[in-house]
Amino acid sequence: MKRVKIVLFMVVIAALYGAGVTGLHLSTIGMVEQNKRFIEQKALVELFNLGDIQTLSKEEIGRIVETQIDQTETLTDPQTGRQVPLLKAYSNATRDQLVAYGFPFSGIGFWAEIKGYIAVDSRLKKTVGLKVIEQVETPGLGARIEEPFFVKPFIDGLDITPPAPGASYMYMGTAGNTPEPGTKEYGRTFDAITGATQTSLAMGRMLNATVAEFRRAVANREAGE
Amino acid sequence: MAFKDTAGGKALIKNLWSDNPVFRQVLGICSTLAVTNLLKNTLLMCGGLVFTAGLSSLTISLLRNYIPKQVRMMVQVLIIAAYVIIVNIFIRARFPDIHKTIGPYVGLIITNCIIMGRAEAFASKNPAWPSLLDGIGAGLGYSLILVFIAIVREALGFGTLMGFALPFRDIWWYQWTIMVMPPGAFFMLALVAWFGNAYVLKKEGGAK
Repeated sequence: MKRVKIVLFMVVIAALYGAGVTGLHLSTIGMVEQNKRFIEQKALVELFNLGDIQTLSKEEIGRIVETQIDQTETLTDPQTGRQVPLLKAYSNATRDQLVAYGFPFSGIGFWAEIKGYIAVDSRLKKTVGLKVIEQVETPGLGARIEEPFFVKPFIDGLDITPPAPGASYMYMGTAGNTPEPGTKEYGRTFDAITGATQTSLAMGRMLNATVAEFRRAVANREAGE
Repeated sequence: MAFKDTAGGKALIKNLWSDNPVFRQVLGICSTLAVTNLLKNTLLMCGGLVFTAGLSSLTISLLRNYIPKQVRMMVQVLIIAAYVIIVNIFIRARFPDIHKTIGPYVGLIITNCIIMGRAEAFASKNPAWPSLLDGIGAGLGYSLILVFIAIVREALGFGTLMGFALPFRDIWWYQWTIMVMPPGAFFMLALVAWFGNAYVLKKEGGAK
């Protein structure tokens, strides 16, 4: 009898708290989805440098994404069959001047999945931006992949033309292992984060794989056309 | 009777300093190290902890005569977890940017020994009002230390407070990168524990 009472007590209290928490979760789903969408929109405006997100309002950011970024096309990687969403960013709402292309990347970091976007110029020769939108790497270490010092080489432009067979699109540079200026690797190197080697290596791996996949998908589209 | 002489008042004041959960009991260290490089994040974490510690102590105290002894810790964890999830949902909905940074640590409030410790040591044996004050006191004692550490780390590491640049920063400030990184938190915590313990022990010695 006593055991039944204990089980009953646990069931009742778990049901009560479970119902309360579930109710609260359901009532905030809309707001969380809106936040998620806004974070993504901010990321895209920043990625393609279409405006200053510090001064733009939520509505303005939404409008820029809606009018200046075409997200309708999807490419196919012939090697894996995977779909690669293609983003086309234009300098204005009339969409007459293409600024850059963008595509998402994702992969496992040191702790969990990292997601983001990479932008490349319209001639597909170099990167013009990188934006991480989801990561739970170590704060102060791996989490610095979102900081300007890590992103800067991607904005300045890393070479993404097809490398020599067997070579990589991108390299991770460390203090004692940075390619000499003038070498082919030099224009393809981004700085590792001190104390976060595993996150930096993971970024290198996933960006290389993503750019290679994008290249194959673009070649596939051109061949199809 | 003065507030400080009531059971609740005594519990609250004791948790603030002489029995401070961080530097006297060395509890809640994980989040102390993790979230203190920005004051804004720290304040939100502290708010979450005060809320959870206060309400879970109150609830456990109100239910203490009904909770079967055999499952009391399971019930305590369930109650604490529910309040933590409420805090997590609130921050995720209202402060998404901050949730990105401290989200993983908010979940860890469930395992923060301060809350479980106060629930087991105080709330399960005392009436509701003193238990509420004890929980809030433990949360505030934790916050007191975290806020101090965060002020020093953010000022030295970023040259800002709450994200605002310190006055004439360009003239006098030089970045101490280590303060942004985990070792900076270890240094600060050790210093605070040293000074805090030395002061409390000296005062206790003087009282004898």
